[in-house]
Order: sequence, then C-alpha cells, then structure tokens
Amino acid sequence: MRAAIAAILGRLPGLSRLKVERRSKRVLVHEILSIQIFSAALVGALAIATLYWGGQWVLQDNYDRWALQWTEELNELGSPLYLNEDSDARVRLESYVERYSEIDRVVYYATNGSALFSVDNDAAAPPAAGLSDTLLRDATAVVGSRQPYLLSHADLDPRQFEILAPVWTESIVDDGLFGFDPSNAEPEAKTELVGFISIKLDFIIFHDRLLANIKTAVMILLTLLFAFALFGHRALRNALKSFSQLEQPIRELAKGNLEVEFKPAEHREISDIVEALETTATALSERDAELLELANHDSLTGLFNRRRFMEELQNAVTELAQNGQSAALFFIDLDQFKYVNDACGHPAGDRLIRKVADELVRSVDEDAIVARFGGDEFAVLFPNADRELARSNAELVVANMRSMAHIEDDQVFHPHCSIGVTMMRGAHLNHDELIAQADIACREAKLAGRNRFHFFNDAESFENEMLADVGWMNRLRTAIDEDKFELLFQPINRIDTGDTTHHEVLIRVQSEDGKLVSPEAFLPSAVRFGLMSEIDLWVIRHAARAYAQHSENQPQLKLSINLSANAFENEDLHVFVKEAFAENDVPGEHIILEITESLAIRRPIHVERQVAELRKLGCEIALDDFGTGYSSFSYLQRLHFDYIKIDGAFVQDLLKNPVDQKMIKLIAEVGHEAGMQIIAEYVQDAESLALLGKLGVDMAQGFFVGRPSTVPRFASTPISLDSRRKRQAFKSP
Amino acid sequence: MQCGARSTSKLAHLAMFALLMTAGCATPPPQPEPAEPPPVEVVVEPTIPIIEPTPPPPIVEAPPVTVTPLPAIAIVLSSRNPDYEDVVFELENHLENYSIYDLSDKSQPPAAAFRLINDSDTVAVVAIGLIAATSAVQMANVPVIFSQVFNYQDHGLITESSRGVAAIVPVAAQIAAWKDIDPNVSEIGIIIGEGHEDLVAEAELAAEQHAISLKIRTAHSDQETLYLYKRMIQDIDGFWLFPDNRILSTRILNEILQSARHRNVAVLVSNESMLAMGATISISSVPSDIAEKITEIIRLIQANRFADVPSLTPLSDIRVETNEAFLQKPVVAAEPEISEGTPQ
Repeated sequence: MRAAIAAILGRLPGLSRLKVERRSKRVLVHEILSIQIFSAALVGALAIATLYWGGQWVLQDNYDRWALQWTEELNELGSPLYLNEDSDARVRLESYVERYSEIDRVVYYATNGSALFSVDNDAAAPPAAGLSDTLLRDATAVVGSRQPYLLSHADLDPRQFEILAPVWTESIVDDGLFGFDPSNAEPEAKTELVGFISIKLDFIIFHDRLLANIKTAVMILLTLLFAFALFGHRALRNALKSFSQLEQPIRELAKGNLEVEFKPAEHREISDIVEALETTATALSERDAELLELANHDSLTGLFNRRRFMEELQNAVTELAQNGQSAALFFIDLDQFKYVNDACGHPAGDRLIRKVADELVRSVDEDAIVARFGGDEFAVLFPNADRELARSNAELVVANMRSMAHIEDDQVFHPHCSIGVTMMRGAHLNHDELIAQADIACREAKLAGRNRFHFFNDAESFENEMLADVGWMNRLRTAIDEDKFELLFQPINRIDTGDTTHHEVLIRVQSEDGKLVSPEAFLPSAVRFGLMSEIDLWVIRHAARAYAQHSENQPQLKLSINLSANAFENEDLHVFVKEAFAENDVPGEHIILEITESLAIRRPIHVERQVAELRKLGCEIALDDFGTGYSSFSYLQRLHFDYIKIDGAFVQDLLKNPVDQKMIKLIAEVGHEAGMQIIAEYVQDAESLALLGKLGVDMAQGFFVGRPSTVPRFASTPISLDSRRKRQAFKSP
Repeated sequence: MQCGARSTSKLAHLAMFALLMTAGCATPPPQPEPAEPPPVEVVVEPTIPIIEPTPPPPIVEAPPVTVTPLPAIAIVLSSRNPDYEDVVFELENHLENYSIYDLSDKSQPPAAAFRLINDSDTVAVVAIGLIAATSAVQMANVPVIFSQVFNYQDHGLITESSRGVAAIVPVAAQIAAWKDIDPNVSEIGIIIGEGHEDLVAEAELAAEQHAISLKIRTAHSDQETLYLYKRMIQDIDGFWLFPDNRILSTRILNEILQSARHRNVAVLVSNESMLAMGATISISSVPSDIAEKITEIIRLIQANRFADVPSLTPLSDIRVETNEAFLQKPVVAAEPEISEGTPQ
C-alpha cells in the first residue's frame, strides 16, 4: 500500500523523491499512539473479558443464592396455604409476583400434591400440574430440615430453576410454654404440613439486561478509547514537537556547521538529547581542530607541514603582489643527517629532527613561519624581510645550527645545515617556483661545501634544472593519471645454464620528444613531490596486467618488481598487491619483489612485517643494490631474502678490482650459506659474466645478458667453459 | 401462709403493693440476660373484628369457713416441669394429706394412677398442666381443679366436676404493671388463637382505662402469627405475647422477639425465661398464689360448695421481671426495611 502511494506521489510533478521517501517512513507519533492504543485495547479487552466471564460466574453463583433467598420469603409467599379466610391473598400475591420479573410462576399444592392454584407472570402459561409422587415424597422429607426446599435447574439453561418447598406450621406442645427453656436445642414441637409451594425463577431477562449494560459499558469504553486516541494523537504531536525542532540544527551539524545553536528544551529527555548534541558538536569541533592540527602540522616536530606551509607561502605571495613588499624564503637541508640516522637508528634521527626544529623556532622571529618540509628538510618564510634581514637571519641560523650539539649513544653530532635563500618580490612566481628556487640555492650551498647559506641567483642551468624538476612533477602526475608510463622487461639469466629465470620490470616515462626517460631522471622529483608511492602502485598494477598478458604464451614467465621505500609506508601494501594479483590471476610464486638495502636496514621491523604479509601471497623477496648501505648479515638473515642483487658498483670494475672480486665472493658464500641466490647487476661483457660465475654468483643481469624490452624475451646467454664443465659434472652419474 | 412472692424492681414492687393488698418480702429477682436484638420486619396490619369484652365473672365471696384440716388430695402433674413443681411445693404448705402423681413417669400410666386415686379416699384431684388436667377430667371420679393450662377451652376442661385456676395473671394487672414500667407505651399488639374472646375483652377494657390502644389479631398457626406480626409491628410500640402454644413455635418466637428488639418494641411475656430471648417484660403468676387459689377451691369442695366455684379462678399475685437492657433503652438502629425487589 505504501509502495503504491509512494509510486503515485513520485509521478506527481513538483514532488521530489525525498518527499516521497519521507512519506514512506514511519511516524513516531503514530507508533507511540499505536502502542498505547494497542495496550489500552488489550487491557480493555482483558477487562471486558474478565468482566463478562467473571460476571457470568458471579451471576451464576448468585443465582443459586438468590434462589435460596426466595425461600426466606416463603412465609410471605406461602400465606395462601395457611391464612384462613383471606380473600385478598391471591390479589396480594399476584401484585407481589408482578413486582419481581424473575418470578415466572408460583404454584400452590395441597398436601396430596394436587395443584391448588398458580400465579403466573406469563398469562399464556399452561395450567399447573400436580406434583409427582417422587417430588411429593422428596418435598415432604425435607419438612423441618436445615435445607427445607428442593432446588432444580432447567436442563438447557442454568439461569432458570425451580424451588419446591413444603409449607408447614409448627406449634409448641401443649405444656411447652410452661417452663419454656430457650436453650433447649430441640424443643418438642407439633408439625403440620399445610401444602407445597413451587417458585419458578427465570433470570434470563435479568441476565440479558446485565449483559446489555455490560455492552453499553463496553461501547462507552471503546468510545473513550477512540476519544483518547484522538486526544492522545494531538497531545503526542505537541509533546514530540521538541524532537522535530531538533531536525534543522542536526542537519546544520551534519553539514559541518559546528557553531549551530540548539534551542533550550522544556522536556528533560529532549534536554538530555540537546546536551548530548552540543557535546557532540563540541567534540566534533575539537576533533576538527585536532585533525586540522594534524593536517597542518608535522607530527614529529609540531611545525607546519609541507601542505600548510605551501598555503602560507601562497598567501604571502598574494599579499606581496598587493602590497609590493618583499619576503624571504629559506630552504634548509641538514648536513649529514643520514649519517646520524644510519649510525644511531631511526629514533635517534627523529630526536635530532625535533631538536633542530626547536632550534629553528628559537632562532627566528615570531612572525616567521617555520615548517618541516619532509625528511631532513625545513622551510622558513620571513614575511617582511629584505635581503639584508634575510642574510642576517640566515647567518644566525647557520651559526646556531653550527653550535648545536646532539648526543646519541655517547656520540656527539654537530648537524650543520645548508640553507637556500630566495627573495620574494612582486607577482612573478608562484609558490612551487619559489620552493624550487630555494631548493636550487640550497643545492648550491651544499655544493659549495655545506654548512652555509646561498642566495638564489638567476643562473640558467640551475633554474632550468629546477624548473625541469617542477616540470617533471607535472609530467609524472599526468603519467600516473593517464597511464603514460611504460614498462620494460630486462632478463636475468643463470650463469651456469644461460637460461632466463625471470625478468626485472623497469619503468620508463616518455619525455617531450617522445624518448623514454629512465627513472634516474624523474624518480628524485617523484620522491620530492610525494608521487613515488603512487608510481609504485601503478607499477604493481600494470606489472600484474603485463604478466596476465604475456604469460599466456610464456607460462614460465616470472617478473621481478621494484618497490620503493614509499611503497612500504602504505600499511595496506600487501592488500593492494593481493588484489592486483587476484584481478589478473597472477600466481604469487611467479613474482619477485625487490626492495633496496637501505630500506631494509632503515626500518627492519616494519619491513619484516610487510615482507611476511607479501610472502603469504607466495612472492619471493630480493634485496636490491646490495653492498651500498651499512647493512649487516644479521639483518639479511632476519628478513629471509630469496635473492641478493649485488650492486653494479661492485661489478663495474670487477675485472680490475680484486677487492670487488673478494667482496662478491664473500657475498656469494654467505648468501648461499643463508639459502639465498646471488644476482649480479650491470654485467656488460662475457669476461665479467664468467668471472662472476667463478666467484659463485648464480645469475646475472645487464646489457650483456639482455637489454630491457617492451615484451619479456627469453634468450640464453653464452655459457662459460667452467660453467659448462660444472654442468657436465653435475649431469654425469 | 408462707410468702412465696418475689418482688423485682422497685416499680414492680410498688405496683404489686398498689394492686394487691398482701404484703410480701422482697428478694431481688434474677436479672434477665439481655437478649439478641431481633430483626425488624415490615408488617401490614390486617383488620380483625373487635370482640366486645365480656366482663369477668364476679368473685363470689365464700362465707367464712372454719379452718378444718383439708381432705386427702391427689396432685397430678403432667411432668416435673419447674413451673408445676413450684405449685406443688406451695401446695404442700397448705395440704396435709396428699399424694403426688407424675404422669410423665412411664412406670405408672395415667389409667393406673387414676385407678389408685379413684380407689382412695381422695376428695379432689389437683391437676397441674394440660395432660394432667385432661387425664383427670376424663378419669377422675372426684372433682378436679386444674391449673397451669392456658387453652383449657380447647380441651373442654370446664365441666360439672372440674374447675380451673387461671394460668396467667389478670390482664388488667398486667397492663397496669406495664404502664407503670413504661408509661409511654400506647399501642400494644396482641396475636392470639381462637377461644380467648373473654380474655381479649378483658384486655381491651383494661387497656382503655390506661389509654392504651390494642391491636388484636387472631391467628391459627405460627406462620400466621408471624405473618400478622410483620404487618403489625410498624404501628405498635409494645407487643403482648400470650402463652398460646397453638400459634407459637420456637422459630417464630425467636423471629418475633428479635424483630421487636430491633424495632425497640417492648414485648410482654408470661415466662421470665423468654427475657433471655429478647423479651422486655415478664409478668408471671406466683406459685403461692396459685396454691392459695387451689386451696380455697378445695375448701369449697370440702364444704360441698363446689358449684360456687367459678369456672376459672383468677389469680391475685403477679411477678414482674424486666430486661435490664430494655430499661436502659439502648439506642438500636432499626434494621433497614427490606425493599421489595430482587433479594440481595
């Protein structure tokens, strides 16, 4: 029914779907009223039923008692039998019987049981018959007894019954009044039966009248219920009006207007709700503030974060465009922070960052805006500063940082900084460009020896480089959004067999001239502008698609995918990988995930947890660029890598550098002992390949083995003689 | 003559002195126990014909008799009823030669007893109680003097050879005593059986003298008595209960007395035991008086003047006892009238 009405209403012009939906919703007033009416009706029905059945029972019980009370009227009713010469007896009796509608008939019998006469309320009643012998005998037997009557009910209706009672006279014996003793339990008496009287009682009319009264009462009750329902409906509506009034403020609250005001409520329940809503609004407001705080501030230092700082920077740029004043932007990069992080661990690095942040805040004016840009980079905006003021501030910061000492593990560190300064004037540049300038200047300071500041100059190469950097950001954003990256596949072959075991997935992006650009050109920008994580996910997704595409023809295809440190910042990385594999039906056993050594040692516990989740998918794990970081084999054992990829730096001069040879040999021995396979990168020639084989390396990757291609190619590499001999030795029984 | 009279309250004592001219010593009467208040019932008064009272027979004064010893007398009792034995006790003070026969003794049937009497030198039979009286009248060969019989006329006890002593004290004395006790009494109801027209006439005359209106009805059974009583009770402030056993039963007695109690209607009875049932005033005969009257008749018999003995010799003494509760006139709320509708 509701659906039909809703459908009709929905077709009417001008009615919104929302209104139709509102009409189809339940109404609280109706529900409460329904419950009340139902309860009242139930109680009423129970009361009526109790009244009816209880009344029936009481009535039935009373009928018998009332009948017995009539027997007490026998002296009056029986007068015609014992009164002598009373011509008015019959008249009197008839008027007596007329008064009581319950008396149907009164019949008088002689002592022999013959009917003398009757008095009827029904003129059409047939003449009374005499008493049967049985009745006569039974009625005579009860003379003088404690229950001197016979009571019988009509067969079909208990409301009709008949009393048959003997009428007798008693007299004290002749001498009884002399010496009369009232305490004598059974005084002598003479008894004389004078006749019988039969009273037929019919309580049907009384019963029906009572029922009619009950029905009237029920009707009145129902009418009252109905009136109550009507009144209750209105009263409830008024009472619940306070609830309706909450709708608008709650809508405002839902829209985000935390300043909404609630009207004070008259009812305690509503007042409680209003209080709860106000508390909620306050809590939301506080949480908003907290979230805003978190969104705008760096969690480690409490300084503005990059996003917030960029907003302030843009505001400053806008203001400067209007007021024509100047401001200074500092880009500060800590010198040798990586050293402290690597030497003392990530927590030590965090402590240093916090200390540096505090020092920076102390070093600058109150109106300066200090932000942590990321990692060990900070930015400071001096809103009203000319070049001289900027210079003096920069000198102060450099000096303070120079004099700052940070102690970790009984070691003292002096974390100097390099500052890039760019002046902001006019409306020529936007905030990204200003940051780029300051960054360029910071690089210049680093190149000049660190622990100093450098003002941005208009040298074209640096500006172009930074502008190029900014340009890469845009290109990378577009490449991510429009799938403009390309994946290449470089084979990795076994040295002993020359067979291709798997392919490394390499990402490229098209430059403006259509050439494919390698990651070294754009990955720094990707990291700088926070796009690396998205690129990682893009690579995983598309590598899975590529597997699905190429594995049809090459079922032995196995891919190795690089994951950056940013990828591991995502706690749900394994979930994404799992979904990408499931979507493309990629078996985890055909995928190797490569992580760099520096990531592995920087956050071993975090990496270990993530790696464990990825292993559950069946993937193997390879340690990339091994040998370039401050790693230890204990870390390597803990993470259970399947492969170690020796950095190309060790392979590049392998033939000439015995130290490199020893290192590779050592790595191979330890790696094998730990159950890992060893892969050497950057293999450019056959001699290097052969030597690597001798040193114990299992697989090789490089231009000599195979160049990256758009489709995975399986091409064997030449096997060295030694390798062939080993292979033959292995094969021979 | 040994006094056997007992006086009760002061007023009763004074009444006795006023009416009688015999002195007596007083002993406090037993105090009747207050009776249960009877229920009040509405009675419609039927109309009954007023019988003109016949004057009581004049008392013929016997010529002075020289005191000579009384002859042999047979005293026949209906039973060992205390009311009978009291008379015997008093008689014994007068008689010297007497024999007592108890007809309730099953070992000696009445016929046997009277055979003995007839065979003896008994001059007269004193029959106390109805059974003794009827047996004596039937079987005795000598004059019979009966007493303690109210409905003598029903049994033909007055014959050529039998005379009686009244069972109750004169009604005029009763009314006078009642009026002394309760000067406010003005409407007295009487329900009595047939055959007591003389008594009724006597009562009406006495009532008239005391400005009392009598409502008199004749009943033939206890049911009728109750029926008439219910119709009378609203219009009277006193009810005179004569000891007519023909129209009374224990049940009816209880109902009448309880009803009267509820309605604050005084009830005069002839038996002080009924005070416990709720009666208000008891005016009863005095055994010594009965004995004296019997003795006088015996003397007349002895003087061959039996024909001079009236049919029924009236009594002289009365014994009055009252219900203390009545005297205190407790305010008893009348029972609500039973409305004529469906019995509740």
